[in-house]
Amino acid sequence: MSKVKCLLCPRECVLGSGDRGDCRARMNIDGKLQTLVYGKPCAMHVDPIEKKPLYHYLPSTSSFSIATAGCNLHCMYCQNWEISQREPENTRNMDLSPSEVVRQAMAAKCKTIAYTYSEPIIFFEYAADTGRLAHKNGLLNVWVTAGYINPEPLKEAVTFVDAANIDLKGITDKFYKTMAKASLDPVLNTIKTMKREGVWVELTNLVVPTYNDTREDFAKLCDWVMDNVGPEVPVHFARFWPMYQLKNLPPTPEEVLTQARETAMSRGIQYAYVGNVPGHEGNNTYCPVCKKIVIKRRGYMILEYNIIVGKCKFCNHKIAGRWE
Amino acid sequence: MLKKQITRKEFLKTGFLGILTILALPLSRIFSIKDNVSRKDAKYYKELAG
Ligand code: SF4
Repeated sequence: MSKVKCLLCPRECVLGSGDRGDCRARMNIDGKLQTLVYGKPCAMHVDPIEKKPLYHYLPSTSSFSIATAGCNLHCMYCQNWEISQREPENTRNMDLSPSEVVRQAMAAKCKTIAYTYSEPIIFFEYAADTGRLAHKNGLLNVWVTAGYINPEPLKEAVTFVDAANIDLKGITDKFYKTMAKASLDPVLNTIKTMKREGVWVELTNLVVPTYNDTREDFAKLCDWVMDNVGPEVPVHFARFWPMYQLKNLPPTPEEVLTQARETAMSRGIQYAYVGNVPGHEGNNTYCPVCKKIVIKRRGYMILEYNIIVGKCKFCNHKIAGRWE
Repeated sequence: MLKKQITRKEFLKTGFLGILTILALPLSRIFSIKDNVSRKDAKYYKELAG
């Protein structure tokens, strides 16, 4: 039986009959490349959009969030490895057609559908059909992704993805190789392409002790952001929690996250956040001009909201994002 | 030490509730949507990041 090559992500798996891709979600069945997860999410929740995290996109709204089993990256610290590093037959799946996802999202009064928890790239066909149907019904689509995708499918993705939180896990190829068995360039390309094509982009950098937690790491990452997508792209520095294959490390110290945020601001990033530390001053959005708090948060909760028609209530400066 | 006497009625009531609880436990497993997911998995399914 003939071999097939999957062109969805840079791994470009060549699969003999009955072989499965590196992501565990795609297979050569009788000479045809087929997805094993279409319409079969293993997770479905209604989340605050702040949980993605998206802090500058329809704040305080609910996002209907789905995921299927599998992932094309294999990060040693994966926070959701129970679903991302498993074959679909080893997770508890639902039968949920795209139209049913849209129906349920509307019934739950969500403004967006989030393709999250594992990796939307590996359930591309399902996410695409659902996303297009969502648009027809007035809903928007949010991807939470590592951005490890080939340019061609990415071109298609930007036609139905409205906002994305993209993981920028580190800023060296070595980091991607060691931590995720992947490479950096495709991720950088995804960030640039999505931004250029009008997708609202926020970035997350999970700060892992001893791996990507030096001032130089933060500076290099922020300089790349400044040079390539600009100062208005929010950057979230998230706290690592010992998980999966990195249980030997401690959680990221709060001071390191504070340092990451300070470095980001000193390099010109206008919206730098600290994630997974409720109550940290880095949970809030500050106006880059008058420096007052325009959104005060505690975790996913909004305590104060000082943005009026997309502008700072105090000095009228436009705050980047989609607010209504 | 003052010991409280348990009446026959109280004894039967407690016993009845106990038996009911024991019977209800496996039933709750049958009706649980994620009945074949381990406890550890169920925890993570609920607390997925992202
Ligand atoms: S999407 Fe999956 S099957 Fe396709 S190339 Fe990537 S890892 Fe391989």
